[in-house]
Amino acid sequence: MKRLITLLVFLLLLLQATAGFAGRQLDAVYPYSLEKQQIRTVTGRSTLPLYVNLTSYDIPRMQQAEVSVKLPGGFSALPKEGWQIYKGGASAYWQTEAWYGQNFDLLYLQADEGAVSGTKEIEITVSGNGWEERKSINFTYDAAGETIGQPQPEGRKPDKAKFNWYIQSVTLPVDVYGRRDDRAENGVVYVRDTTFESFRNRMKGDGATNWSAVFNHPATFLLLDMRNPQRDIRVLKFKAQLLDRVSGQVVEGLITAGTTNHDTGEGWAGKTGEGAETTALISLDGKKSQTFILPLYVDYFTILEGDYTLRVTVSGGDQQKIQEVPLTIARKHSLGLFAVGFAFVCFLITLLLLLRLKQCVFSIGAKGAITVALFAAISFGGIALPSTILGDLVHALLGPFSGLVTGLLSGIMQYLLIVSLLVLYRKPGVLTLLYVLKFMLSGIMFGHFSPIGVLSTSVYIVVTEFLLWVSGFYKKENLDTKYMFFVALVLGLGDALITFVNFEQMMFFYRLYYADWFLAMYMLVNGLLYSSIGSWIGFKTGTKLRQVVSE
Amino acid sequence: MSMRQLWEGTDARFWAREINGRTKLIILFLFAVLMITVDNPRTLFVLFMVTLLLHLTAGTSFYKWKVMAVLLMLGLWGSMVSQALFFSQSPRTALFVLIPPDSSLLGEITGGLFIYREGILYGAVQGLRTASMLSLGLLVCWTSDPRQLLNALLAWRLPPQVAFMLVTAIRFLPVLAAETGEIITALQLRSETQRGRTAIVQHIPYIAKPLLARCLRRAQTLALSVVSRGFFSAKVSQVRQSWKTAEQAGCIVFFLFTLAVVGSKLCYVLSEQGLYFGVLRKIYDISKMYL
Repeated sequence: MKRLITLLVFLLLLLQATAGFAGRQLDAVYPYSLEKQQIRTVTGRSTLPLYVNLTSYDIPRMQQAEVSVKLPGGFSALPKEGWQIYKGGASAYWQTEAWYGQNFDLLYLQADEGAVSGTKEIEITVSGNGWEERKSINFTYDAAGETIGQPQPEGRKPDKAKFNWYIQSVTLPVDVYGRRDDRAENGVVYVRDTTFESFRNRMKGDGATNWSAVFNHPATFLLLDMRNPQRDIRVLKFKAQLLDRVSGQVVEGLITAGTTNHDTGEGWAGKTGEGAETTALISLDGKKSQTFILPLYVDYFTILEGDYTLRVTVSGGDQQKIQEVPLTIARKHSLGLFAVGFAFVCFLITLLLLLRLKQCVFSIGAKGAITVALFAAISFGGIALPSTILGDLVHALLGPFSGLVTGLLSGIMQYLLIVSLLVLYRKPGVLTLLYVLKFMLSGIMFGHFSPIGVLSTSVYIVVTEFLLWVSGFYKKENLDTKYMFFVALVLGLGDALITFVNFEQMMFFYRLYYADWFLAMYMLVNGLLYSSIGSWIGFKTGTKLRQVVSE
Repeated sequence: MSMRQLWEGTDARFWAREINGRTKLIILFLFAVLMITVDNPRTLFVLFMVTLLLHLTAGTSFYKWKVMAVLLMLGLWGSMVSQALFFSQSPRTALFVLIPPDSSLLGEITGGLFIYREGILYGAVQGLRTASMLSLGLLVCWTSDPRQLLNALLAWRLPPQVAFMLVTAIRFLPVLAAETGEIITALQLRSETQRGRTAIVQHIPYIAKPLLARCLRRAQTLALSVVSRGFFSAKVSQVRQSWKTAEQAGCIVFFLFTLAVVGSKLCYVLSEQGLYFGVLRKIYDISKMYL
């Protein structure tokens, strides 16, 4: 019991002692440097921040404190939210938290035009219910200081009465250290191709794509050269936007870096920034010339290739400076390159297959060879010829959708011929023979000898032969309906791949544009649907034609 | 002028017909390489004009000019329409809205379909590539006999069996066309309804089977004939057209020129990707300005 009473008395004394230590501490710095530099002299008409900080501790309840700043003659505070500005000073009300609280703010001060040089004093008073804290700051003001002995920056000669700071130049692309690469063209930014990002990552063994990381990786860096003749110290907001060169409207393409990182946001969960702009905060540190290296983040899904105007806006306080520079966005066409690379590989394989062509001709005999020749003639006369003559007409009428009509010939009819021929002569190389003859006929009759024609034919040969070989078509004893349905689907899928590769090749070599949905539609309808239907009809036709062969 | 006459190269000037098939095929292929290498619209236009000048000097008949003009216009129009729809560069100005982005499911899938003003021009410029290739292809076609080009392929060691197949295919093209006509007539006569009896389109799906059956029967007959006479295993007889030295030299010069164009363009593209060499500065400049 005695011990308990002793403990209670001790705790009571401790509580009183703590209350006795209750207090507040007022700190104020002018001019305040964001880089904690000791600056004693204020020059010209510079805008510099006054830093006021009130730390309160061991006060058991919330309190209201009035902050009042008394300025020396010739100085005034710039408007700021939460502050009441009046001639010769400014005041604000702060709410201090219970037990421990810290209130601080930056108030920008500027010398008026008539301010005279000399030693000045700012008086800061913070008062509350029954308490008051004061702080005085002395500094030297040099009205003409900014012009004496200071070299003028090259380039624009601003009216210093109007400009505290301004943008001297915007340079891009630069690297992370702000170095300009002479090999890179000025004002041209290369953006990576992310169409097959997920596929690429999985192939490399990196797993699912961390889109958050992709979007948080800057597309390039920008060098912002600022001039600060009044030696202001302040935080400014930087904003970069892409403008349409014709309409001048802000267009999509730039974003602000995501707020998530590898730990907090994976995949699509990652927030990728908002608005069609890249923003950042920059701080002027009182130097007359200052450069900033700022990252530019790109929305890989919406950005288009082409020529833009990059608008750089720097704002702070009641001032806003804008500079516009031409910018070209170029995309790396890795998918097109991949397609062309794939076609080249197919071409090399086709060359190897051609070496065995003679062997194939002898294995099917004269009858087989003549059959292949006649099928090639039908393929040329019934598919290539009408596609060339009528295709252009349909193309003019239906535009890019003409393929859905001509696909009936090139898809259904083509695969009908192929599969019916293969049902009659099930030998590797027959298909190659048919395609080679068709290509040569086209070349001789129409003069269609072009690299794209060669590559496209190679892709057809290699993909179709490979799929037939993999699906065991050449080894299967009996071609039953179920199996041939599977083969028709496989050939349809193969044709979808061929359609994709050939489209990408065309886009790459002829610099054409096609929308992704359009490609997908073609792959689905012309590739998968038409070719599968054609293959199935070809199987049925080939089975009937067997009777003719055995006559 | 019949369709057959249209694809014959008998009315061209003598010098154009006399050029060796190998020269024609080499120039055609190299020209196609040039067309996919060059990006500069002016150079593309100049190359296109060169093909038209060649037609002029080769004496292409007025009727063929008209046919070519129609084919070129249709091709260019198609390219302009497709690029007006899918133009994906900035700046782009939408002239018409075909499918509003927020209209329906179609709008959501496509993200809206517009006709872009800049796309029309872009399509016209890019269409010059295919137009030039088509124009030169037609020139080769209209100044050459198929046998001339076949001889060129044989001169490049095309297997005689494949050459035989190719000749067979070419020879039987008119026969197959005639047979298709017969089948269509038969189908029209057998048609049960009076309505649309003459319409060819509705008979198309039924043409394949009888046509292929006839092909197989013909192949059987031909094979018997060919094998019994020993044609198939023997070398195909060919009349070799002499390849003049001047033509060979011309092909070599054009090949070197194309190689230089492709090489400098490749260097320029690599320099854009960071593989830059100061000594090639002039090549980069030429590539940028003219290619």
